[in-house]
Amino acid sequence: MQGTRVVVAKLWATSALFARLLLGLFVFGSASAGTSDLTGPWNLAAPINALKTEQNGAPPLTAVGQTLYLQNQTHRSQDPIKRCLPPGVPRAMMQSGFPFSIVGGKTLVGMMIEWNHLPRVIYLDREHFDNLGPAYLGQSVGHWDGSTLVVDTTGYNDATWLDNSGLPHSSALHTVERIRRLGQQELEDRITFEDPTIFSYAWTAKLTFRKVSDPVLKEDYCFARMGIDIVNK
Amino acid sequence: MSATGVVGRWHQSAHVPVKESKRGSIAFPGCSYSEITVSMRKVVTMICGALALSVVVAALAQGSASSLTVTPGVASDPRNFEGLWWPHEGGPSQGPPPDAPPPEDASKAPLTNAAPNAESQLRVVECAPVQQMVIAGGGLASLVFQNRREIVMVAEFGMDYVRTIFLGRHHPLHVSPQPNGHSVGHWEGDTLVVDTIGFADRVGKDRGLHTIERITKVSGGFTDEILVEQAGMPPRQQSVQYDLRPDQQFNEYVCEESFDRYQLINGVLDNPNIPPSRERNEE
Repeated sequence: MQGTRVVVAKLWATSALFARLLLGLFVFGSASAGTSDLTGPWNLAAPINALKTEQNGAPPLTAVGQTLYLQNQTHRSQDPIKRCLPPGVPRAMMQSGFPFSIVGGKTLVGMMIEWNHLPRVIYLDREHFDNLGPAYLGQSVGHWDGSTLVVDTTGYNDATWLDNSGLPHSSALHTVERIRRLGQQELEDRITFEDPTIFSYAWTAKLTFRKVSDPVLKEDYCFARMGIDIVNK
Repeated sequence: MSATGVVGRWHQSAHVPVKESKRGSIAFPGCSYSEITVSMRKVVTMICGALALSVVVAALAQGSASSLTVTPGVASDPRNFEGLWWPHEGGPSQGPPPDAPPPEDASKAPLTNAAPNAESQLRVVECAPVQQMVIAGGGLASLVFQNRREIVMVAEFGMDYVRTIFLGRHHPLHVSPQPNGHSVGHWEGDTLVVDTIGFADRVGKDRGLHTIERITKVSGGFTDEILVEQAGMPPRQQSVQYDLRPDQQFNEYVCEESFDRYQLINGVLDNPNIPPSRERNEE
């Protein structure tokens, strides 16, 4: 009788451990199912002028990259956003005072960027389009890796700067972002840049965003905000 | 979702107090071997086994669902508007022009087909809202994002129409007027009822417009029944229809780029000492 009890107890212990492991697995799965975890308006936690690597170093520019970077820094009036052109990725999410809102569903994730009411589209149910022209915000597809949204973007044009300091890129730019929550109030975007023309190797920057209390983004219209009178110019 | 059901069962079990076994056997919520008879052990073992098996199945299902790139059921879900929508061919495709003078019998007059006035044309040139009410995508191809808290409609051409409908919420006491207003929505059956106020005029003043839309999915599309109310005018109604077009693509359109190129061509843009951008070099 005692032997049977021991066997049963061991069996039970094994099943209990197994069940707990499965329960943990399920809880993890629940957190990963859907984009609601990322939903909400977000703003850069602290202003960033120049992107740095995760090791807080300078991006690994090629000779071409260095030349273009210097050119952009010298001719700051050429900053595309001064002409209200889209800031590109990730700069569109880095404009101080202009939050963006993530709205995610089953097949699409939208990043609604307040700066000039830009929509960034991330498709969850398809591969990259092969017949779309280059775009300021590129073409993004994504998938879930646990509770992290992985966004792969290609199809950029070369008309944007990567940050406010004038960091350049070419149309060969390829970015991979890993976006996840860091608690109730923080969002992290680890973005890897790959652009052989501009960078000597792929590098990763880390952006941190804080949740914005007001869920309503303003309808921002750049020309009006900048006081650019197009009609009478 | 089956996985949710499994979680519920475990939670129910967790409500049963965990008791320490006086004889050293191991207890688990709801399944303490120390207080059950031998004859019951087999039954409990079977139940616990079934629970474990169902958790395994649920976990596997969860994993496979996460890894799938195609999510079936969105198109057939009457409460899911995600996707790219095009104005129904042959149907009305233009939003009502609230600035237009009301016709003799405004309650029967269609809200569409009115030519844009000079004001609205000017707004297009300025890459600003055309001051015509946006319905769905404003008669343009529209991409719809949706989660349980909000629905966002983005029009493709012009990008002036980014409209958020907050679900299950009321308008705030003080709405800051914006060109596309402030929209809240709720479900009546499978119909989304959207109430919008706070439409701003060109200088940001509230135009006093109020719209109530009833948006319902139909076969391959959705209809939007719109009621427009404005002080001093009879209410107006209209219906527009959109088709779901997963075969089409949503293209980036940048209004400001046209102006930029116009200035470049006409030599207006920037200091001539500044070198043109790489893109322009290629041109």
